[in-house]
Amino acid sequence: MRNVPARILFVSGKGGTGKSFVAEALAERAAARGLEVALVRVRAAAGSADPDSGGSEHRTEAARPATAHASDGVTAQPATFHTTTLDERATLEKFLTRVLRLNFVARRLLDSRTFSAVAAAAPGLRDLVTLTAITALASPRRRRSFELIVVDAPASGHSVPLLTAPAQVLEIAPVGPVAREARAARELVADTQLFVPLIVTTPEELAINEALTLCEDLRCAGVAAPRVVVNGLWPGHLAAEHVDWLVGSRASSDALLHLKRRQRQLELIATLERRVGRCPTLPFTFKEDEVPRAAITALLDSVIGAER
Amino acid sequence: MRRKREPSPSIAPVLEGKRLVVLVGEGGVGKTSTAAALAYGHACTGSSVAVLTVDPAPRLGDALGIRDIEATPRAVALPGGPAAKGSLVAMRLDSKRTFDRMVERYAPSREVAGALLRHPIYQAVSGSLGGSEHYMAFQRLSELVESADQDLLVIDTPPAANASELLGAPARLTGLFDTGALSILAEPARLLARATGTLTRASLAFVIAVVERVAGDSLRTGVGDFIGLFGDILAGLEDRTTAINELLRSGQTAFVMVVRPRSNDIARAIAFEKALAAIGLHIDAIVVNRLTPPPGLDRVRSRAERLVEAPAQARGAVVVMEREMDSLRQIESKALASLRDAMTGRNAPVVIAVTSLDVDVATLDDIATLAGELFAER
Repeated sequence: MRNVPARILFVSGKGGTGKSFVAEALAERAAARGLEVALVRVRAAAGSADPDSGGSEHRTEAARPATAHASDGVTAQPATFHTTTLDERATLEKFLTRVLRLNFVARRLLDSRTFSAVAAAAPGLRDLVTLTAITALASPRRRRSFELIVVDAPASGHSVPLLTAPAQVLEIAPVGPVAREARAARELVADTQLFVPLIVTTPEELAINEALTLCEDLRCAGVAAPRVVVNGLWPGHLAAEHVDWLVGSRASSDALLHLKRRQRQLELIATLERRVGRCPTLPFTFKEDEVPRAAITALLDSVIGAER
Repeated sequence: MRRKREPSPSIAPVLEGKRLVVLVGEGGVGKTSTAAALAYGHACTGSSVAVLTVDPAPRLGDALGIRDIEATPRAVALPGGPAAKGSLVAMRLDSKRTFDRMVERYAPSREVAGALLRHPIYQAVSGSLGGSEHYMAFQRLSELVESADQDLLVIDTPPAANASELLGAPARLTGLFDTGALSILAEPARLLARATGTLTRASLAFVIAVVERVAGDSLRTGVGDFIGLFGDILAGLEDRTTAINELLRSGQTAFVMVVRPRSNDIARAIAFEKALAAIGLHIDAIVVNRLTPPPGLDRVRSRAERLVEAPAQARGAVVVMEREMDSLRQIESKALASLRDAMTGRNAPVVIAVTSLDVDVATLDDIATLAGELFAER
C-alpha cells in the first residue's frame, strides 16, 4: 500500500492540437511501464450554465478493455489503464455530499434549476469542484490508488479558469468548508513535484501563440511551471548539405514542399523555444491514428522522469 | 501520377442575396483566413463588406490592419485602389468591451452602469463567463446589421466543438441571469414567504442553505446587488437575443463551415451539420481547407530521370519525401470523399475544396490567393 499521492499530468492546449490523443498515448505508455494510471477526461465545465448540459454526458468508471500489461515492443497490445469522464452534475453532487455533508434527500432536490443557481452563485465553484474531483483521484487513501493521473483537460481557454478557480473562490468566499478545499487545491496545483501541466501545441503560429499565452496565464496564477510539447513536426529526411541541391535542382516539387513545411515549422518552434526553452517534439506520422510510441516514451521520460 | 480531381464549385452563389455570413468550425482550421478571403473576394465583385474576427493570428491581423486590440473598423485595400467599386473593412471583436458597451447601452442610468461595471461578480463573469465570447460575437453582429453600413457582414466565430456551445450561447447567457435561478439568491426570504407548494418551499430553503454553507452571507449579498443591477438590463438583453435568433434563421444568413481534410475532423463536421439542422440552422457550404496541392508536373517524369544528377544520399531522402506526400494526399482525399458522400441530399451544403498555401496566410496577397480559390469554378 503506497502512501504518497499520485502525480497529476495535466494535458491541455488549443483545440485541434491533438491533446486528447497525446494524453491517451501518455497514459498507455505509463501503464506499459507498470504504473497504476488513470486517464481523466474533463469536459469544458465553464461553458455550460444551461441545465441540459450537466446530465447529457455519460459517466464511465471502467478499466480499458485491453489485455495484460504490454512490453514496449512494436506489436504489443496496449497496456491497461483506468479511464473516467468527469460528469459535472454528478461531481458537484459528490462534492456537496462530502464537503457540506448533505443527505440523500437533499441531493435529490438538486434539480437542474437549483444546480444552475448554486453553480452560478459562485464564479469558479464549478471549476473548483472539477479540480477537487481530480485531486481526490490522486489521493493515496482511495480503495484503488493510482501512481499517475493523466488529465485530458479542456482546451486552453477553459483550462485557465479550471486552474485559477481555487484563487477565485478564495477571493469570494475566504472562510468555510469550501475555502478549505480551495486552499488545498491551490497548494496542489502549485506543487511542482505533484502537478505537471503539459501544453500540447502544433508547430503553427496560432497554436504556438495560444500555448505561450497559456504558459503566461498559468505563471501569473501561481500554477506549477508548464512544459510545452510540439505535436506533428514533419520529419527531416534530407541531410543539410543536400538542401541547396534540392532547392536549385527542380528534381522534385514534392520533396521541396516537404522541406519547406518542415523549415517553416522549425522557424516557429525556434520562436517558441526562445520564450520557454527546449521543447520535446512528436513527429507527424502520415498515418491517421498511428501512435509514435518511441517519441511518446521519450516525452513521458522528460515530463515525469525516466523509468523508476 | 496526376490524379483527376472532383470539380469544386465556387462559393459565389452561396453569398448571393445574403446580409450575413457566419463561419463556424473548430479551432485551428483556418476560419479567420477563410472569413477574410471570403469577405475580400466578395468585396472584389463590387460589394461593400465588413469582416469581424475574434482572434486573428498576429500576422493575419497585420495583413488586415487590425493587430491592435482596438475594435474600430479598418479599411482594407482592394485591387484597383480608390477606384475599386467595392469596399472592405475589418474589425476585431473584444468580448469584454462588447459586454461593457451592452451594459452602458441598456442600463437605466450612468450610475447603475458604473456600479455594475465595478461589481466584483461582473468583473469575474464578464471576462470568463462560458459562452460569453460566442454571445458577444452575435451581439456585436446584430449591432452591425442594425447600422447597415455594409451589404454583407462576414463573421468568424470563436471555435466551437458543438452546436449547443455555439448557438446555445445567447440563451445560456440570458438563462443564467434568468429570474428563476438567480432571484432566489437575491431575495430569498421574500420568495420563501411567497412559495406555496411544500416541495417548492423545501427546495428554495435548500438552495438558500446550500449557498449560505458554500459561501457565507457575504457572497449572497454580493449576488443580490448584482442581480438588482443586472435586472435592469435584462429586458434589453432578451429582446436582442430574440432578434439575433431570428436573424440567424432567416434567409439573409448563410452558414459556412470550415474543416480540415482528416477523417476524424470530417466525421465531427458531419455530426455538427446534422446537429445544426436539427435546431433549424442550415449550413450552406463546407470549405475543406488546407488540402495538400496535387503532385507537380515534374512527377510525370520517372524518378530515375529526375534524380540522375542527385547526390547519392539525397536520392533515398527524395523517395521517402515523395512517398510521404502521397500518403498525406491519400488521407486527405479519403476524408474529402467521405464528406462528399455524406452531403448528397437536395438541400445539402456545397463542398468546396481549397488547396493550402505553402505558408500560413499572412499577407493581403495570400488572402487574395485564397479568395481566388474560393470563388473559382473548378
